[in-house]
Amino acid sequence: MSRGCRFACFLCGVLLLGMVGPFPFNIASSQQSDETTIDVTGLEPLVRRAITGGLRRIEKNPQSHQRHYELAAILDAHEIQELAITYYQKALTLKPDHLPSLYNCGLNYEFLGRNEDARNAWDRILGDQPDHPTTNFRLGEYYLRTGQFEEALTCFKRFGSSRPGSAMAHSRIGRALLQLNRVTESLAELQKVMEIAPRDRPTLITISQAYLRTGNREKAQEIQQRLEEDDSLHDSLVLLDPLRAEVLGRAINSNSCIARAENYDRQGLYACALTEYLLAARGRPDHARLAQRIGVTLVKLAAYARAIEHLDRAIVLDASSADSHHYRGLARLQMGARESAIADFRKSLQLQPGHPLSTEQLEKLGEL
Amino acid sequence: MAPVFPLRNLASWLLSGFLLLTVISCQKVVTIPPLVTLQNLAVDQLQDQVLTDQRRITATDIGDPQKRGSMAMALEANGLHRLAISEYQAAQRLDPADALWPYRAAIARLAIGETERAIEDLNKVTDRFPDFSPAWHRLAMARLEIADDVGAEHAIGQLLDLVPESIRGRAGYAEILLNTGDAPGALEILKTVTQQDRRNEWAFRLLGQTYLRLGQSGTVVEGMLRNTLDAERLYQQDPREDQLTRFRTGRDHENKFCAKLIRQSRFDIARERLLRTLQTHPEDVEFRSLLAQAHQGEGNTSAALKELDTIIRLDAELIGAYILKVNFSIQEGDRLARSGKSSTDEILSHYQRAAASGTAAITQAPDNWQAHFARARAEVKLSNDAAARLHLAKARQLEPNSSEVCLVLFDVCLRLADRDLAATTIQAVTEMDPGNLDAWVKLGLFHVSEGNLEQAHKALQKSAQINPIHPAVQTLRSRVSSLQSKNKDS
Repeated sequence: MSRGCRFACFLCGVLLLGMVGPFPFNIASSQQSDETTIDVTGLEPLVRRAITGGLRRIEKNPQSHQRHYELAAILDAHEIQELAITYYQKALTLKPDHLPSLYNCGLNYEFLGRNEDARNAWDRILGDQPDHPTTNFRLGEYYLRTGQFEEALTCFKRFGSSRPGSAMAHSRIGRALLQLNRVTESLAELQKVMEIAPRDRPTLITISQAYLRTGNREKAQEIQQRLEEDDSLHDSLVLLDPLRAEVLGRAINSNSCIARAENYDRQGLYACALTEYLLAARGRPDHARLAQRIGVTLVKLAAYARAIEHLDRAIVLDASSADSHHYRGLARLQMGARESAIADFRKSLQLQPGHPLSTEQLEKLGEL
Repeated sequence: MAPVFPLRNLASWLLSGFLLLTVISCQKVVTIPPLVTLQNLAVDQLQDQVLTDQRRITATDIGDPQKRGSMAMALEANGLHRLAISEYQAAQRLDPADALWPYRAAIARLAIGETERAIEDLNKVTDRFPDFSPAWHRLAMARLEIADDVGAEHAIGQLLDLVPESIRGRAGYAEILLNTGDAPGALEILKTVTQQDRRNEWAFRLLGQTYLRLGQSGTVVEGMLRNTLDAERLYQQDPREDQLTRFRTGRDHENKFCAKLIRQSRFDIARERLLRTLQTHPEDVEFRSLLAQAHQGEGNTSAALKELDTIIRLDAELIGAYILKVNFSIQEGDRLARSGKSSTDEILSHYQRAAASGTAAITQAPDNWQAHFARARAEVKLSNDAAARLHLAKARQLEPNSSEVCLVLFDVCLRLADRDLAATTIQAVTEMDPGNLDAWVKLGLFHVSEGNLEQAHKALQKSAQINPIHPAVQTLRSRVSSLQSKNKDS
């Protein structure tokens, strides 16, 4: 090949590259524009990492509905709803019948007050699966809000038939019946709720309203008084919703992690609680109360050496916490360090005179 | 033409000689770095012994890079990272072609918090030795720690290109996915990885965390996270890095490590290790207590009890030893009863021994609830329910928050037809531990036996909320249904 011929080939090559080169570049830059539209400032570092990670995965696999759904779910879990809807919609463009996207997109519409869009999403699901339990529940809630009580009742009954014995189903059926003035039937449903969840405040309120409608003022008043005086009453009904749970578990901002940790702690799932507290602490490394909770949870898990490390940190961050001293005392006692444990219990009492748990420990140790 | 050839030959010989001399004179003379001195180190007796032994071996040839590297590993394994770095550097100077030494020096830097410098060093290692897979793994995880997710993804990609089947590498990839918001991707990998390596606690820990991210919790996930509480990340390794595990020692380490081996039912390994450790710590009751558990795990109850007797001789006030004696004697009695090959007297003799140990514990610590509880359990085995009730009541008085004590007390009271105490006891458990399925089922069955359908139904609802498919809940459900139909019929 002559030198001139080789130069011509090279030139053709350069020109060809020039023609095809910009194409993939444009795709990349259009995807990068996605990233620039998501304002991640002000978000906790872990959340930022999850969002940018989601964008990178979409960039690598732009035709994957799953990748779009996953980013949408992360955004949704952190209440960035407008953008969540955008990505749910992108997922639905790629796979129109993708149930998790359709369902959660509907919920996001509802959160943003776009009720008709939400309803369209529910209708699309029920078009394919008329008995889909949680969609019937959501649509029932929509009808209840908009005063379409017969329709609400139908939806709640469908929900209830797929969840026999569900307090949530009885509660909603009871409410819809009350709105339809079928008070006796309503009371029967609400009583079923009370059998399962006797401390549910909203149900008690509805029961009181039902009694008022029947003219039984005495009974209504009795319940009102209980509502005022009984501090143990709370909103205790929980909707088991796997499609939503799959989204909400992705919330990794510290507040969400703490809320989940507290919930696990109440159920005695201490290792789950610890995992969530540790994740929360990554977002708030200098939070004394968080360090203390990690320490306390480790005490519950009998991981005393690690508990002491975290409680030491909690005390460095907030030396005035009686509880941190108390629990460090407990951990030290379990590790056989009796003297330093006593010192901690004493410090706890000094910081909070009469601290019941420290008092009890010192009494047990014969030091009080 | 003839004389020209020898002349040209001579010139080329001279030139070659000159070049050879130049090369030799330019070659760097490697001076052997001095060996580390072991003075005033913050180590215990066990660690000191390992380090001294290793130094003695290294001193036989301080110019051998492998020996210097091993010395560095002995130092690193026992927490002496700065000294380890200088020994790794010595090994590197003696053999610059070996990737292991600069790589390990970087890891020692990571351990002392010099992350940036460590990452810089790992970058150099991966540049110079791109086929050395362990460095890519460490680099990936170090980048992940500093939130350089793109860098971490790149490094783990390089690792998996080199060793696509690496279980540790794939677990590392899953960890990156989990940290960057792709829990489903992590789940897919971790399910396979944990199937392939059932002992990889770190992978199980990550799996538990992944389930939480996907909104799945409950007792299985809790168990997974609880059992892997002390798990540490596992890295792709050079085979020579196994030495680190061999060198790692110290009282605390041995204690934790052997306890872990026992938890994993690796009793034989634990026993051997504990026997070795006891040579330097013969009076350490914690080691002896672990050894007793290892013996018991191997089915050698007599050796276990002998070990516990030694502990009691060393420290008669150690209540834990008496309680272990109770447990082991009961276990042995149960084992013989299950085998069906022993006489009743033989079985009872073990339970009697358990009761005697319980009595000894109470003598040492009359206000220790666990001592009373242990004695009560032995009395239950001997069918002395009245005596058991006395000790359970005392245990409960000393520790009112123990569900375990209450549950046994409930059963004993039922057998003694003390239904009032049974009712208040089981009620108390449901109040202090509302998530205790066993308690709700027992309460439900109690109400069924009392014919109290309403209360039985409530207890059933509560237990079904905890685990609707649990066999005990199914039993309670059928008993409640029977009562319901019986009531309707009557």
